[in-house]
Parts: sequence; C-alpha cells; structure tokens
Amino acid sequence: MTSLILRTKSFFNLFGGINGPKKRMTLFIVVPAIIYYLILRYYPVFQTMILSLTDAKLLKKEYQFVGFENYAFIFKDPPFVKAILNTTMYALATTLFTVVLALILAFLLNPLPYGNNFMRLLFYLPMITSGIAIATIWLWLYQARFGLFNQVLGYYGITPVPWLISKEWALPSLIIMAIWGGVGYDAIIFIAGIRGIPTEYNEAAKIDGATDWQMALYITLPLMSRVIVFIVVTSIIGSFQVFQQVFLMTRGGPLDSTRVISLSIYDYAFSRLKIGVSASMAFVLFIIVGVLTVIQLRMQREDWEL
Amino acid sequence: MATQNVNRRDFLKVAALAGIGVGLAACKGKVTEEVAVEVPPTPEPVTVTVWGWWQDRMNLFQQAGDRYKQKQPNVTVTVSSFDQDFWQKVLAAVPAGTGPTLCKMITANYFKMRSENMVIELDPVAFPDSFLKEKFPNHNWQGYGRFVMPEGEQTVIFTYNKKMMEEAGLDPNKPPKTWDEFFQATQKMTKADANGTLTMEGFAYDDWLPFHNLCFQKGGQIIKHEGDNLVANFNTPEMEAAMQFFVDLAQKYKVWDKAFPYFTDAIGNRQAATCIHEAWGHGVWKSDFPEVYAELGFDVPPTPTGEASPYYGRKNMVLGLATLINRPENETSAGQNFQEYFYKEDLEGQLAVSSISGLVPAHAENLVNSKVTGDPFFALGVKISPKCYDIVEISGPFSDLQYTLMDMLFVDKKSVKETLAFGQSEMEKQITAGDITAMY
Repeated sequence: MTSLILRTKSFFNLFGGINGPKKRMTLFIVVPAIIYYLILRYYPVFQTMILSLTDAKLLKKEYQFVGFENYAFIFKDPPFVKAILNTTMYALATTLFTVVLALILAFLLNPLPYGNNFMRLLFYLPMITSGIAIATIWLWLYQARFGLFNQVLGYYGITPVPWLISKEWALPSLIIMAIWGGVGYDAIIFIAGIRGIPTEYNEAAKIDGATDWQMALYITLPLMSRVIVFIVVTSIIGSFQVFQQVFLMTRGGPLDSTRVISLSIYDYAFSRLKIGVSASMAFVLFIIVGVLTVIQLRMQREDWEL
Repeated sequence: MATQNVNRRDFLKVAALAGIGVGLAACKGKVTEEVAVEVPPTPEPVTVTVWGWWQDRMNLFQQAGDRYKQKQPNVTVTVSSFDQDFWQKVLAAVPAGTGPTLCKMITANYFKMRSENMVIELDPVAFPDSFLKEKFPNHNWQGYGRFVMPEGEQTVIFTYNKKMMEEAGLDPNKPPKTWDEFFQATQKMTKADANGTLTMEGFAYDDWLPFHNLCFQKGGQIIKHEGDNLVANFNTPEMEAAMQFFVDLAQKYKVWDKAFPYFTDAIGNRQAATCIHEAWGHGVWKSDFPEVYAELGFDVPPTPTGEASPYYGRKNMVLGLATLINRPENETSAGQNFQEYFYKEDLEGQLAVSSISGLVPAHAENLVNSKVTGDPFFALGVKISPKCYDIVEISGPFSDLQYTLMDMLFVDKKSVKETLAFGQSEMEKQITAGDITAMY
C-alpha cells in the first residue's frame, strides 16, 4: 500500500504536483496525445477484440456473438498454423542474421577514418527505398530461369536455385531479402552504440595487452548489450508483422510455404470477407507482439545486465 | 340648378356599355389565367460519383460523363480511379454510406455484394429484359442477374510467334488446330541447352484458371446443380485430362517449364513461342512489346478434335457499372439515368472501354462495328465468343485453389489423381463455406 501511494505520488511529482501552472500546461500538451492514442490506437485494438468474438462479415451490418469459436477455428486451420510457424521462423532467422551481420559491419565501419558517412548512407538506402520497388526488383533477381542470381550461379557452374518457386527455397529467399534490407539500419544503430562507449576502457585494455578481438568480446559487446537487445526485440516484432514482400512476391505460395500471419489476416478479411475470423487472427498477432514488447521492456530495466 | 333628365335610351346605352366593359374586364382576367404558363423549376445540380480501377480505363468513363453533361447540364459525373486497395475501400464505404453512386464491378465481389443487397437492380422500364437480351446477346443474364451491365468478354486466344514458327520450319499461316498438332508444333519451337534445360519454351501458360479451358474443350464441367444446390464436380475424367495435358507438356513433350517468366513477359521477350491466354495479354504486347507484337499471330485455341465441340475453352464476362445502395435518392436516380445513357446511347464510349482491355464488346451493334470486324484480334474474339463457356462466378478462394493445384502437380510432384481429389474436396469446402454461390 505504501508502495502504491509512493508510486502515485511519484507520478504526479513528474509534473511537480498538478497545481502548478507550468505543469498544467504540460498536461494540456500531453492530453491530446493521450486522446489520439486512445482513439486511434487502443480503441481499434479493443474493437478488434470484440469483433474476434463475433461472426462479423465485411458486407453484413449485423453480427452475433460466437464466443471463442473463431479462435478454435483458426488454431485448427492448417494454413493458419503453418502461418504461425512460418512467421516465427522468418522472424528468428531474419533477426539472427541481420544482427550478426550488422554487428560485423559496425565493427568494420566504425574505425574507418574516411568515407564513413558515405558508407553509412549506402547501407541505409534500402530502408528509405519503397518496399514495392524493392519487391519488384527482387522478383526479377530471383526469376528462376533468367534472373540475375541464377545467371551468376550458372556462370560459376552452380545449379540454378528455384528461389521463389520451390517450397524449400521460397521462405529463405524472402529472409535473404529482408536481411539485405535491414542490416544497414541496424549497423548504424550499432555504430552509434559503439561510439557511445567511453574510449578509456579500450585504452586501458590496450595497455594491458588485449587484442582487438578480446576488446570487442569482453568490453564492447557487453557494454552494447542494451542496444543489441533493443535491436533484437524490435527486429523480431517488426518481422512478425511482415506482409508487403510476401503479398507482392509469393502470395503465401508455393503451397503455403511462405504464408504468414498478416497475409492470413488479409485473406480472411478481404478475400473471404470474414471479419470475425480475421480479427481473431489479428488479435493472436497482437498478443504475440505484446508479449515480445513486454519482454523487451523488462530487459531494458536498469537493474539488468548481460 | 339645371338638371338633365336621362332618358331610357341613354340609360340603357350606358348600362350596356358598362356591362360590356365589366364583361371584358372579367374575360381579360380569365384569358390571363389561361395564358399564364408554369415555369418548371431549374433542376437541382447533382453529382454522380463513379469508382473503378485502372486510370486509363476510368478516363474513358469520365469522357462519357462529360458527354452526358452536355445532355444533362445539371448532372456532373465525377470518376475516380483507385489502383490500390480499391475493393477494401468499396466494401467498407458502401455500408457506411460513403461509397460511390456507380461502381465498376468484378465477379469476385459482385455476387457477395448482390447477395447482401448492396447493388440496385436495373430499372425494368429503362432496361426491359427484351432489350437486354437483344442488345447484349452474349451475356449470361440468367447467371449474372439484372444488377450490373456487361462491359465485354475475355475469350481465350491462342497466340503464336510467326517468326519462330518459320524458323522451326512450320507454316505461320497454319497454326495448330488439334492437341496433337499443338504438341508437335511446340516441340519443334522449343530450344534447350546441352543439359536439356529449356532456353526457349514452346509454350507459355496463363496461370489464371489454366485447367478450365481444356476441361470445357473435353465437354467437362466443374459444378453440378442439384435442385437449388451447387455441388462440386471437379474430380472428373475431363478435368483429369486437362491436368494430364499440363503434366505432359512439362514432362513428356518438354515444351514448358514452370520456372519461366510470366506469360506476357515470356512472349514479349521472345522466351516463349506460343501461349493460350486470356485476351487482355494482347494489350500488354501491343503497348509494351510493339516489335514482338508485329510478329504475333492469333487464332482459336487448339482443341482435341480441332473443332469447338463443345467449346474452345473458357470465357470470362467482364462486368461494367452497377448502381450501389446508401446514396441520396436524387443521386441514385441521376446515376441510373447516366447508366441508361451510357449503355443505350454511348456506343462509342462502350467500344472504347471494352477495346482498351482487349475485350469482345458486349453491345450487339459494336460486334459489327468496323473497328472490331476490321481488327484481326477483335474479330477473332467475336468469332470465338459464342463457343466459349462462362462459369460466371470466380471467387478469390476458388482462384487461389487453382494456384495450389498447379503447385501440387509441379512443386510437390503429386499425381494427377491426388491433385484432383484435393481439388474436389477443397471446392466442396468452399461451397459449404459460402465462398462459391453462383457458379454456373
């Protein structure tokens, strides 16, 4: 109880007590943002939850409460179960390889005396390029007979890869494209993280005879742990919501090998017009992302260290 | 004071004159009432909104709207084209009352919208049945109903590269007519490297509903009607023959490879010699690959016997404008009047809209227009159309099922029989789930 009172007091102390005119001004500025979030962010989530418990259809005004029928349906629906597995695999693989490559890139780029900014711009370009343009170009790069990748492989005598037209290669193809798109952004964040470490640590280690590898492993990486965790968790959260590339490049095929949760949500909403089922899928995704967010927030707490 | 006596005659004269004067005055008032004409009130201005997709086509509807304004100055037709998320916008806007007056329709959503009473039936006075059947004779009015006007038909066309035929030692003026002739011709036009990998395929395929042409050519059907109920009829000898046709193309005759690019790119880039496809591909080659377009020939699709017995294949009716609900009454009325103008009077407008998509025009008078009969491609479509089968409804899930079946055969390497059985059961599920409601 005491703790609750102290916490409430500390909340109002953020504003120095609600009676102060400056703090009233602060509240006045904050309240519109709160209203915005309530109406445009939290209300749709609440409404989705309600719809997920109904048999709502896109073209019908009336709908009935059906309880958890939609949830029972989607978890028995093989394509949706496959979508969850595919999305999880996509998120983990993309994140793992992106983070590792970005770290390597950051360590390589950071010490460069010249051209550092140019290289960073170059690696950041995929982030600011239209997703549709990227997907269109990569569709051609991956074209199984005449695409650039297989032409290069053929030049070296390697058997062409059926990138997007085989069950085994379709998802890895999308993962490769996602890694290419995300590694630059992560590298820039990591470079900022490296530059935030006081140089005294490395200087002291150098004096003690530590190698570059030892400094990276025992000094730089541990001190960058929070940045790494932040990137890992936000990358996983973002990857779980993948939609554009899949929709444009494979539409979930071949044979549901690239079906992801967002695509299932879209299909049930706008192809089958079953909003209730689609909402239940969306709520499942919300729960997954929510859990990951909570994990991230807890790992960001001050009393946590690698 | 001197007085003057008025005698009777003078009195009567004055009285008569007065009476005449009063009578004239009364009559003048009456005449005035009869001559006065009620000036009709100026019609209120009204805006008719039309939504669709593909800007080039919707521009043609806007031009029709501008022509209509010259006839009805108080009506402004405003056409909007949405190339992204069009149907999401429509399906969300109409129930909310913020949708358009008229909407360009597509079969994938039309039947659902019709079943939910979101489209308004055509005015029986403006569009009596006799008029519709006479002026739009190739349209399946029974299947589609009286809720949307037809825009034109996509027939299935056989396209071949005449130059490649010559290089293969074949006569470009005698394209193959039977399935056997087709296999032989495509084999001759196929090129492969030393490893047997195709470098140019003899045949490219249009991946939308690929099996249906062949199934209908064999006299098969994919649906049965049992009373009022639809029953899946997918697992049949005719559909088996259709699937086997594709398997043979890839494995027995080796003229086709799923790894090749999409058919419009394959033909346009000279990576494929022939194709059986929906007519719209013609427009892509004409605009994007003009050099190759000059080398292309068009003919009826090859059939088992060389004749359309019973059909050359599938056709797809492209739908035009429908009037939507939840608009103000005067706007709906104006929209229906514009619809009447466009489909009854604006034949040139209809022809422009159908031609841009490579469609056989829907209106009977446009079928004999010299712009159609004088163009070899359109003339071919007119010839084929009566001998093509329209399955009417193609829902999103049904269309997706065809891609899955193709992948089962060529990615998962399942047998034809397994694939057929899967197709049958999935179609049954889709009918039960209400995803297919009006297939013909």
